[in-house]
Amino acid sequence: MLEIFDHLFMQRAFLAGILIAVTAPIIGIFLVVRRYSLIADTLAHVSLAGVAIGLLTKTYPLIWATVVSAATAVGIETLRKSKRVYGEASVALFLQGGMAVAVTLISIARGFNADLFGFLFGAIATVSETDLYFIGILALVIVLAVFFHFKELFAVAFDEELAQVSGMRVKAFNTALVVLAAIAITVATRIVGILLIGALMVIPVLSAMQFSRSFKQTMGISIVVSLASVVVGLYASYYLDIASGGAIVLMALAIFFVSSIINKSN
Amino acid sequence: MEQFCLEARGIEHSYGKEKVLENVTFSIAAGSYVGLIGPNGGGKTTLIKILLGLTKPDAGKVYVFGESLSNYKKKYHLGYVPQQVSQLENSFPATVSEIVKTGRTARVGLYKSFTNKDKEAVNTAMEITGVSEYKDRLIGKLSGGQKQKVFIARALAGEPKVLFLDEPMVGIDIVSRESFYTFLKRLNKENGITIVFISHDLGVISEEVETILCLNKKLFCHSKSGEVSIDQLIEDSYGKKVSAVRHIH
Repeated sequence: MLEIFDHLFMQRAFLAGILIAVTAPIIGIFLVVRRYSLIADTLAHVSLAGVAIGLLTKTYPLIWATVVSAATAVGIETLRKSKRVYGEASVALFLQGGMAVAVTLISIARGFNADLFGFLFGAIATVSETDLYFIGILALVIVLAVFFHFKELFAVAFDEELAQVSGMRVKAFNTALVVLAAIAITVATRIVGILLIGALMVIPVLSAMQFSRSFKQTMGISIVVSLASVVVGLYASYYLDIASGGAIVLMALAIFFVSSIINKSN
Repeated sequence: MEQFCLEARGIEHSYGKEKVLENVTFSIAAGSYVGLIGPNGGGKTTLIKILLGLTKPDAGKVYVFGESLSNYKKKYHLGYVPQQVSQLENSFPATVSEIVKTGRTARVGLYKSFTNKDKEAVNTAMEITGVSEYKDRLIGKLSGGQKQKVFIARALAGEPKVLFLDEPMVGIDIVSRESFYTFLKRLNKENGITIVFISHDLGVISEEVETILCLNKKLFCHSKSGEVSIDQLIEDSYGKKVSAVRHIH
């Protein structure tokens, strides 16, 4: 079981995986309770445009992915708040727009299909030392932001209007939340893949909600579920030679089904 | 000189071309118990949202304790219980005490943790609303009346000086209503909290509150409840001859 850690790339993959497993649900829980689940998916898809810019310009793709998805996050929030279009329509607008930009850039620069596959579906062998440092810094930003602003994020998530009445800077916290989601997505890109990140942010939270007795407990259980999914998924990816993103999300789904059945039978 | 906790001066508001508030001006004395009545679409909720800073009026200004609402720093002095809380489908995975604490968040401030004083205020809010006994239960597992109390406890946790309640009786059974009115009166008399209460329950408004604001786009009346004929008021604002009937419990 432990021989896979003989490989340096697996050590890096597990370290990155643990960071992802912690950061994805602590942001995901706020997205789920605010009915923002699809935003994670949209930001992930849009980050593909950032990856394409990086591959095209031969610069570090994850920086571009962070910049593009964070800018999109601000754009979605601004449009949603302006009420010029329905909330979910603004999400769809950016999802399709981002994908269009990504596909166009990819078609301009033919020849990085192999790199792209790893970004789309996750690939454990691709986590470099630079990735690990980058992921580590971003994960630290997320954990610190949630730690220091937990009570505000929670109050705004529970009821935006009531938080605003009490004088909280709701707009700033909403924007911060979607930007943190964009960062969490970049953190997870290497291991889980752009197409499946949204699932890792949402499914462990849904599993935790089957058993939780409080908000903090929901967050704790979702981190445990997420860690279990990532660790088992990475093992499966290594031994079965399958894409890590698929293996991790399938594991998360299996936990969700089991927890739903247990919850129903109780 | 009487201290006003809330003043509205020349408030005007429209949705598109439809004017919902026309030159609404009034002031509310600190410690009063105010009922805001008027027909559906008469602008009651819009007015409350303007008074709370949730909606920006097209014209006019709101003052809280003599200071412009937009400059008023201690907004947590305004507590708010929104419409139809009891009917909310609430799958939010949080306990009653976690939710009541959110009412204290703004008062605690950024980068600060809940002190013992804050925790005490939260516990007091839960005790006076009677939600302490189910403080560890998830909000989604509560009845409509219990949810209503949780939202009131949430509003009280911030130790507000003015409490706004928008149609708080919707979805609440008749027995709970009676004790709820008694509770509001106690909050007003014993805790000195100014209460502004929107209701369609005209009978209750006429008997319970001290001051009546009657609104149908324009403010028809602002007077002590004993000094006006409620039936006349209703006729003026609703445009129909109806009578206020006290519920029989």
